[in-house]
Amino acid sequence: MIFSALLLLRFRLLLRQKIGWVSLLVGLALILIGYSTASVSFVSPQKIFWDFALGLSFVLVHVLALYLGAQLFHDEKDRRTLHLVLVGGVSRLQWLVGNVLGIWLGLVAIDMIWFVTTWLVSLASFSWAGAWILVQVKILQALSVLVVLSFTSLFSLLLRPLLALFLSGALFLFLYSVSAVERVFSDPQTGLLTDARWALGVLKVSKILPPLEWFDLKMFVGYEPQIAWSTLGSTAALGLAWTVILLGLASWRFQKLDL
Amino acid sequence: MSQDKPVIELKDLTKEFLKGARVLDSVSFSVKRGESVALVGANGAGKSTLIKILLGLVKPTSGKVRLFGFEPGDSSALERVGYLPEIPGFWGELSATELLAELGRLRRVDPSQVKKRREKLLGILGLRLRGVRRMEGYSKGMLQRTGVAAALLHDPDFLILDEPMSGLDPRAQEKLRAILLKLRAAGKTLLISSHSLEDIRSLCDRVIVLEKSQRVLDGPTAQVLQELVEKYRSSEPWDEDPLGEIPEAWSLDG
Repeated sequence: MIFSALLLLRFRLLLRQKIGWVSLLVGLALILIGYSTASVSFVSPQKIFWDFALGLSFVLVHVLALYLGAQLFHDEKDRRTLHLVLVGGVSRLQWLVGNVLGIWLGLVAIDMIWFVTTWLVSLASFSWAGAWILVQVKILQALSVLVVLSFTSLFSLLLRPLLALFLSGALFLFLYSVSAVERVFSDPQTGLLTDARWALGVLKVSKILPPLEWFDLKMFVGYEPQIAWSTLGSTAALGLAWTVILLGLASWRFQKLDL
Repeated sequence: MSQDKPVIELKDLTKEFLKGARVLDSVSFSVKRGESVALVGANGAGKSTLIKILLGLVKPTSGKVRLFGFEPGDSSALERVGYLPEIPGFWGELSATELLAELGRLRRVDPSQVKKRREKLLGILGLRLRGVRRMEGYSKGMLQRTGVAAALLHDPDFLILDEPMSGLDPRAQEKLRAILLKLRAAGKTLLISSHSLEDIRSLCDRVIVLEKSQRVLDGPTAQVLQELVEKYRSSEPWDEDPLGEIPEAWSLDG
């Protein structure tokens, strides 16, 4: 009950804070601008619109996750609301997990509003009701946001907020570049560290986020590709495992801190 | 749990921060149920750190600390404690009414009880009308009163109050003093950190003085305050950053 109370409190705070509702409105405005631009295109306006909307939500939601995750601990500590809650008998683990999941829920809600808006506009303008791959992409994105929130909250407990944000951003960019880097390393023609199996091993293990190419939809009217559900399931399991590990480390660090 | 157990039990409590600064040095005392104790000391004497250790926010370097017989930070102990910090912190996006509802949920207080108590507390503290507005627009006095309401909502057995009168106008101070006296009469235990001798005299029957991280005086209020006057008749009270001399003719230049 405490856990759900914390989660809902954080969710509510996110939607009331300027950053929450301004991001929501900015996202909606950009989606409508994207529609205006796509609708004057002669070539696949539907594809252009969906590519734009999905790309926009991917970037915005991850930027929000990086910022909110990096600020969470320091904001609450500076405001003394961290003390207010902990002195109420809430454990540090409950505080951490409840708040991370509350932010996650808020970001998923914002993303869902963007998605539903895009879908309604697409249905009204292009008579296209969507495909399962869109649902799959949203699941992957939600998972990716959860992992990002987990490692940013860990960094925020180890470092000052700006440094935590910077390192989280750098790690996020690295994790989403892993496939490309791996291709370069694996290509014998480039001659770059092809013998360094340890480097390739690190890169393989680093794939804790869903591959970026899964977000780059190759959609054509009449052709609806789909990611195999078993692949999606194993990716989700890996992401959840990483979330548990990262939040576990964050909790361990949190227990040691004097507040 | 035995009713005879003290509310606070400290034995050789020491706290040293990383840079070697010893903030508390072998402090020992206990506080029995129903006592009303003032914690007094200059800036840097260790009062806030001692309170944070009791609440589980800071870990002691060594020594024994028990709150209602439990380790600090244990939820079984904290559910019986109400805490008013020197500067209360709240989420500006919520109103006082909403804040108390959320705190009631976090403290697992029955929702119908929360509603009743919330209305009563906000009424007593002069926040019945303004309590529905977001706290980002509250004055210092309103925030302090909200803090009092938050500390009392779950009807705690033990209240820790750090400068409780801070930011309150004279009428509100009188009201809070009256509340605290009633709580004392009802058998609640109070620990008040304050620089106000008037509040200490009227609210507390025992005073503990911390100086240079150590407990230097501990006893009935009148006796300790008299000893303090005697002690500092010949020497200035210790302060890590002592007050300087005021120039004869006021001038900041030369």
